[in-house]
Amino acid sequence: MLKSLQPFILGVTIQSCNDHKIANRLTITDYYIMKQLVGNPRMEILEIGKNTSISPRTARRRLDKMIDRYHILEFTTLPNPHAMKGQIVFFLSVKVERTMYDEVLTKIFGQLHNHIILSIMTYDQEKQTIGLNLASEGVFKIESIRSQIRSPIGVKEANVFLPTKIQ
Amino acid sequence: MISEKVIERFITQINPSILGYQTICNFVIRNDMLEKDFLERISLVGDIHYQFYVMGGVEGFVMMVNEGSEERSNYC
Repeated sequence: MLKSLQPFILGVTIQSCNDHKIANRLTITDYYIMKQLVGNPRMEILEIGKNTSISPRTARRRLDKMIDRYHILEFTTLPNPHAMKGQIVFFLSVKVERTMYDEVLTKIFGQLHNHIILSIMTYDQEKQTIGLNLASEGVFKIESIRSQIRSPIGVKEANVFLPTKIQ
Repeated sequence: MISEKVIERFITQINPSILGYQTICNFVIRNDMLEKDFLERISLVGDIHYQFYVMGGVEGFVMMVNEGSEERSNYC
């Protein structure tokens, strides 16, 4: 497959998923909760409990476990670049040293506190890539943000993409 | 932001490994020369998690691959 794609490829990363042990710790109820949240990411705990026939307290406990302990659930938004009038939506892909992932992530949050962060994707089991969906008033500001993010120790690469459509 | 459609929708992301996927491939490709049925063929190998179009005729997609799909990928 890669061979047939080769003339068109500009970049490729392949990550292996190695969290299969977590799957063994999940119950069928956990999967029911996930199914509810895939259908409606903003569903309230009360409703999740009602739809899965468990108490809201149990739903909350299981959800906390999946989010904070196992890190298998994340909530994000899908921005529409065309609707951001006066703002340029851009995607910043940051490649980091695996050992410094958490440290770099904290630094990035600190550096971006004055900017519009539409969503952040920290969802990389290999802990090598951080994806950021940001908005800025102009292209020069985008480059300034990129170089600011690129500078800390532990950041290997910071690349900007200007999306026209995400689906 | 919701009423102005700046936020198109909210998303729940699930770790693919708990759904049985073993590999995640991120591709950034030039789309202006790509065959139209390419995405159909690639779906034999895995499921496309999401797809994005970037300025300059570039397209990216994230694909989740199941065990045993490597053999099927030879036919793509």
